[in-house]
Amino acid sequence: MKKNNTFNPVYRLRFVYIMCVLGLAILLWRVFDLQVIHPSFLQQQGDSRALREVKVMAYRGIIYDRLKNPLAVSTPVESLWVNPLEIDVNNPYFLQILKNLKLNKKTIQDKIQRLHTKKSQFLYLKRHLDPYQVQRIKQLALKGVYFNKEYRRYYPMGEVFSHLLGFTDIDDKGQAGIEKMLNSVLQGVPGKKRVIRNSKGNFIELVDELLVAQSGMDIILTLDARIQALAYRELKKTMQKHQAESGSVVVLNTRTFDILAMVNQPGFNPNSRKNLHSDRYRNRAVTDVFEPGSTMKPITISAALMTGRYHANTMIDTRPGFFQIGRKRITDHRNYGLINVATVIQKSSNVGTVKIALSLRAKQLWQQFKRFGFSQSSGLGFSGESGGVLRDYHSWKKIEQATMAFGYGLSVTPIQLARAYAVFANKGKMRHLSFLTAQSRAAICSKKLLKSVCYSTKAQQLIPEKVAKEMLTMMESVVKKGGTAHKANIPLYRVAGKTGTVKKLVNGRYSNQYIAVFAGIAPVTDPHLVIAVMINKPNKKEYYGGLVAAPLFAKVMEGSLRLLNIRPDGETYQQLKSH
Amino acid sequence: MNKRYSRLPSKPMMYHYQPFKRLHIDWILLFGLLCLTSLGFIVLYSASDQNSHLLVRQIIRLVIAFGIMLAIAQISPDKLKRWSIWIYTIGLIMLILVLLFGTIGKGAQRWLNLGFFRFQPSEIMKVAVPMMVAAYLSKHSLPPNLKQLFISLLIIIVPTLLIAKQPDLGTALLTAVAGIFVLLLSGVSWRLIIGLTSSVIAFIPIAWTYLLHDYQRQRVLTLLNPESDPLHTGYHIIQSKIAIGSGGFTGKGWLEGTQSHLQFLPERSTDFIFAVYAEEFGLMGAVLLLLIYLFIILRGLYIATQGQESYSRLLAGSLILTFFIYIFINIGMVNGILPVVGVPLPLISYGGTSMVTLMATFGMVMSIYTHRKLLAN
Repeated sequence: MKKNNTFNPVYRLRFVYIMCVLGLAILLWRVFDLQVIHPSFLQQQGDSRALREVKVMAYRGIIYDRLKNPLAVSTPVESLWVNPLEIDVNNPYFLQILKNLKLNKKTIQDKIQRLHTKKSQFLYLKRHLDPYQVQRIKQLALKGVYFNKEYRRYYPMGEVFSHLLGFTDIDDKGQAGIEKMLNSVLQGVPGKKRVIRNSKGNFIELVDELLVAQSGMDIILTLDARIQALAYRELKKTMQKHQAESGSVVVLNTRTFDILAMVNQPGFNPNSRKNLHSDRYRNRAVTDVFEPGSTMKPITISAALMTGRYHANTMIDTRPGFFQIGRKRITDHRNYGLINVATVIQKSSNVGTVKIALSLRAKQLWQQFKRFGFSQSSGLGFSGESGGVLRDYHSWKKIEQATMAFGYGLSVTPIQLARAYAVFANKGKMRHLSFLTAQSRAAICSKKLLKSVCYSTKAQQLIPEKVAKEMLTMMESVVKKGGTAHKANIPLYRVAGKTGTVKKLVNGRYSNQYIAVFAGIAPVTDPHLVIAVMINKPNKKEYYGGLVAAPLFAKVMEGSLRLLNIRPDGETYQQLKSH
Repeated sequence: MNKRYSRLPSKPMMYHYQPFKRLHIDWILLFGLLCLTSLGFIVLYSASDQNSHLLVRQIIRLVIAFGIMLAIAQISPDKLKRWSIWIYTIGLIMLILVLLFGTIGKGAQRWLNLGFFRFQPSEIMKVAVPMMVAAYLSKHSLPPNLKQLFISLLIIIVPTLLIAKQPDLGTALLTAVAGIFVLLLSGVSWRLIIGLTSSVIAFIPIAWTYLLHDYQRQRVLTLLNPESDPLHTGYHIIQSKIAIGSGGFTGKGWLEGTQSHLQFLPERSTDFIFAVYAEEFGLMGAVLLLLIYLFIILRGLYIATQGQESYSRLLAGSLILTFFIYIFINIGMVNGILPVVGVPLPLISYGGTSMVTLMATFGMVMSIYTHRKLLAN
């Protein structure tokens, strides 16, 4: 120590000791305060910044045809959204994105501005972007620009299954067709997961799977993509050839009442539904009713056969080619003279049919129509389905009983017509129609997802087997020489069917517009398929069911039988075999 | 001389340990520093998101800093005292150069680019000012008279203002504080100190309106109510409080902190590294860290009492006090009891300059202790 020093800094160091210890104690107290006294608030704040509960979209079930061809599949896509509180609307890169996505710069900027003032943090810019777009936008790493994962539905067969499958909206929710009907089955249950996100909103780490997303159920349809495509192609061809307004084809398995094909025109592309008129969305095979015309005659005749008073050879006098009821006159094409019941069907004699029908009680006729499922829902459950109109027999006048016998004054849908004919094919027995395989239906019902598909498929005997057989034989003559629809004939197979050429009711009056109808069964020996064809408003040159609908029927029937490997039973085949 | 302190310099055991003696290393202080820096690396590895490249750079810096500490420890306090005026003068010149030619980083002109490396002359002043004041005061008898006090204040204020002009308020204040600590230790009467302090407090409104930059004012306002603007100016404080609070008693575990790693916490490897540490190691970790700091401070203050000359005592005392102030300001700021000023957490934060300066001061402290022994021999 120097002598001249009178003050030793060591004195003050005592104070410094105290100061330092005190200072560190203050810091420690503060940390203690933050970490132990009220950490829960801060922890919660921290978690609320980092932890997010994120909805996990469930994978929508795949729809397959009976051969497990995928008809509707979901693929993951990304959607672009922005946080209006974070985004810089004048960022040149952002403007470039808007330009590339063909979004209006002004409207988007205004929208963001509006949401910004409302402190809203979410705005979808564009849903379901193409992967290359996503990648390029992600590379820009713009602040406030985010993506979320969604699913987009694709329909590999496009228009072919358009009406039947329907489509989903942008949120992957079924809006039409099977997609709508079975939405609860297909959609699954969205999951929830807790993730950690960083301050930029990017997903960092999965903390907790709170609820595992349950994928929707895959379903298998009874439909056969090959037959559907065939029917689609032939229908489209026919539509073009005859410049028809609309048309439907339904192919049914007569043994199981499974729908194998159901096509309509006009259709739409479910993968791109821009600027489409809603008319194109209608599944006309179940929604559109028409007067069945002559295709109703077999039902009428079957009612007569069931009374026991008629059989195929019972003679009916159709002279002089017309029949007067009050002021109305029912006419045939020409005077067929004295013909048997089979010929009434073969020639499609209105007079003969009416005479037979009027010999029955109204109730018998009405019951027969009801029995065959007319005015009754197909039970398929499509939305917008129509049951058709069949007035109660109590209100029938005589003329009505007469016209209904040959299919005027009541209305049916193509699917109902096909179902009714399937009864003839299936030895007089009817089942519940199905578009879902038994396996899929069982799966849905066991999980209690949708009640409407839990029906019994037990066969119900509607008419005696003998009557059904007789009707088949009669209808076979229709496609033979002398019948109204020899164009429905196919080589190698025996076909039974009935044509219909229906005058269209326009504003309450019968116009000179027509509906060409054909419903047919093959092979007659051991029926397997029923096809109902309805062509609405073919052009005036050819409008007969036998000329418009029958050839289409033949093409589809022939192709379908071959595709299904069904044993030929036709005379030509027998000849070929014996050679 | 106080009896109590005269008893203190009893012979430490290590006195006879030759290698340390020759190297002029105080092994107790070295032990504290090694503990601290090791802990620092562990935290930094986590705070930098396991960036080993960054860690290696920090280790290299530490090795250099230890080298500098070792080198300075070889210089006797006598020499340090004689060199004080030159270090101070060179520092002043460089500060002026910085204002004229310095490079700008983060809105302030702090760096002097010497071609091969850049450094902040203000860092030198943190050491040079207490050295100069101590050297000046120890020439005269203590406590200083008014004239000496005035000159001392001048020595402090000139570099302080130059640094404040950069602007670097944090360093300016720390430089001033380092100088003032010398005055405090030199025995300036409490009355004067209180008078001075109150006049500084009176000066605050004037400084608020004329001297402070907008951003500095904003920092103080933010401190008072950080929630007023959670997305911008209050963001640092709120996020760091949240991070510390999330740690709880035991912490989330090393590398497990969410707030820091998810980039919610700004400046997490530099100024706000304590928040990372507290989130991951909790209150127990914080206690450990503060104990290590206390250990170093107590050892440093003990060495200060062992100084053989006023200069040594003043210098060692003020340097250790400054070290404490760094800790206090940094942790206080991260805890939200002090405004956000750019003060790193000593020997933990990432960054070379402050580490070198700090190790240089510990070199001086060691020199003071070890050379005393040699002189005694």
